[in-house]
Amino acid sequence: MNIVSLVKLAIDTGQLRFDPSTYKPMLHDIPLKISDIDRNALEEALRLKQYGFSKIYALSLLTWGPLGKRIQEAQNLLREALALGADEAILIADEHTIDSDSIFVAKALAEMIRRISDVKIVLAGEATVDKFSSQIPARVACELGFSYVGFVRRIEYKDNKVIVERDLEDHVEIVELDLPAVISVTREINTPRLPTLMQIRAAMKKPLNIIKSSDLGLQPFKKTLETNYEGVKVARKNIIIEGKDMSEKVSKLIENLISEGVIIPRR
Amino acid sequence: MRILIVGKLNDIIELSGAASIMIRSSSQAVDVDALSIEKIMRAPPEVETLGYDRIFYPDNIERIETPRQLAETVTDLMNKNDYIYIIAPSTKLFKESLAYAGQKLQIPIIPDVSQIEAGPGRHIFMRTIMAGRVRSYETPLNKAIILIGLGRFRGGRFSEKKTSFVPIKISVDTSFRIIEKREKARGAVRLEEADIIISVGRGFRSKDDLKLAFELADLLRGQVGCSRPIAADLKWLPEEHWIGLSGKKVRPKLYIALGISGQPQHIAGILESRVIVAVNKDPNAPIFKNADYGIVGDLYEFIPKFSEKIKEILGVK
Repeated sequence: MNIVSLVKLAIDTGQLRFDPSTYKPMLHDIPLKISDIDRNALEEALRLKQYGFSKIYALSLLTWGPLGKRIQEAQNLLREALALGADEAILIADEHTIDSDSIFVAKALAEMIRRISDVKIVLAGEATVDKFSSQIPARVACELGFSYVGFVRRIEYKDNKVIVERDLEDHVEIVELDLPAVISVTREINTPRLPTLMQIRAAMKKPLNIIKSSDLGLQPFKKTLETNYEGVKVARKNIIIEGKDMSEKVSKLIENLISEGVIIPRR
Repeated sequence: MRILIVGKLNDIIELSGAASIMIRSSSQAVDVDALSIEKIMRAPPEVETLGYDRIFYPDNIERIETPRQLAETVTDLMNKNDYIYIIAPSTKLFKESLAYAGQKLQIPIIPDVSQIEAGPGRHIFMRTIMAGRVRSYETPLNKAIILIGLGRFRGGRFSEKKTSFVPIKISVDTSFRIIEKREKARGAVRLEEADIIISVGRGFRSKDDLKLAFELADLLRGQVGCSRPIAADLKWLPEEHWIGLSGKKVRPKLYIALGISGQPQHIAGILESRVIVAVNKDPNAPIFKNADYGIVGDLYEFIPKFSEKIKEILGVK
């Protein structure tokens, strides 16, 4: 029995920069990171391991290019997943995975999961921090024909079944699900650990395989969407109110709020 | 050309607004069907007059509630009717169910759409990604599933068509067994509608101190919001106060962030505020970059002074 933890190598939105003339995000130059919520998924995989699972696979597909530049960066990030406790890492990357859409990504991930023996649970974050579309886990479940449950904040494992608590907008559901299953988790499920120096060293010896999508027998994807990115210009005034003490600062603030028309004085 | 709208009855009313944009911008005749995820006992007049062609609803169960049930129902309707767009609310159940359906049908999804631009023969759907810092304009090259943030469109009559209500059989999903369903506590908090929001963050030292924010909110007839740590980690406030990417997205006239550092996920929830005020001890807190007015200082000093002056201005004793 094995667990696959999906790891998105996401754009680090904290480091976004924009082309000064076009104001388009310079995505090729922005570092990647392990998507935050996928760290929670991996942590949960490590916790579930105690129930008799033999291996945790960290599985990733590289979508952000350029390929030549990203391939080493992607491997470094997957070493981090290994340091956190994954037993083996797999990176699907070639020219076809770059900028591929979620239909293709789900097919490729599912095809790889089929090639790993006896996968009972696939874990992933509820969304990735860059595009936040929450689609991949359900799409992967559909490809594999696995059970699926999303937005989970607690998992209980019991003889080939899981009981989960999932968080929807206006209610919470407790759901029982047969395995194999794909489960997406929220950040509330746990607090991801930080790797120790020992673990970082040990990670260098763990297997990290790079697979091409063509080796998985996949056809290059057909484009389904035309997409155009534009930076959001911050139109905020960014005025820091100075003053000799808080009282003066507050008075100045209130004057401004009145002239903005958001506070209306009574006469 | 056909469109399918999916949701609860309220969603079907609201999303008729999106349907009417599609109809106005299309050179061909557009028929709009809907799938209600809840059983319909009596045809509600406010839905009947909108101009839907057919409204499908579950006949053998009270509501469609598992992701796979919804995915299979939608897939089935798609295969029979060849819709160009499937439109649904951008909430968790629809995101996951329609992702499952989208994979079955091999079609893309555009989630969290906040704006639709119509050009001749095509539509551009806009959504904000990368923690609110990038707008993504997406044009489907063929069929697509479109998920729309609620509160964006006003529903209304889009055609003179007479609506027929069509019961359908939903297959039973035994793989997903709901053992218990708990409604979340819902108080009087309606952050999405608030004109003024006083929002609290890690700068508050204790749960007890939050009453300072509540008093200020009362004074301004506003509501209290909070950042992720307050609702999710410390649990000082119920989740209905949580503002941000995984919390609520708000659009008040005045947003006052007290002791909130301004993580990108929080900023994403407040982008549409008209005026943002930030109070924080740390002059380097990222919130100041996203604020109109910033005060570098202690919120414990700010609140009493601010309340006092507001009382004077509003003539409150």
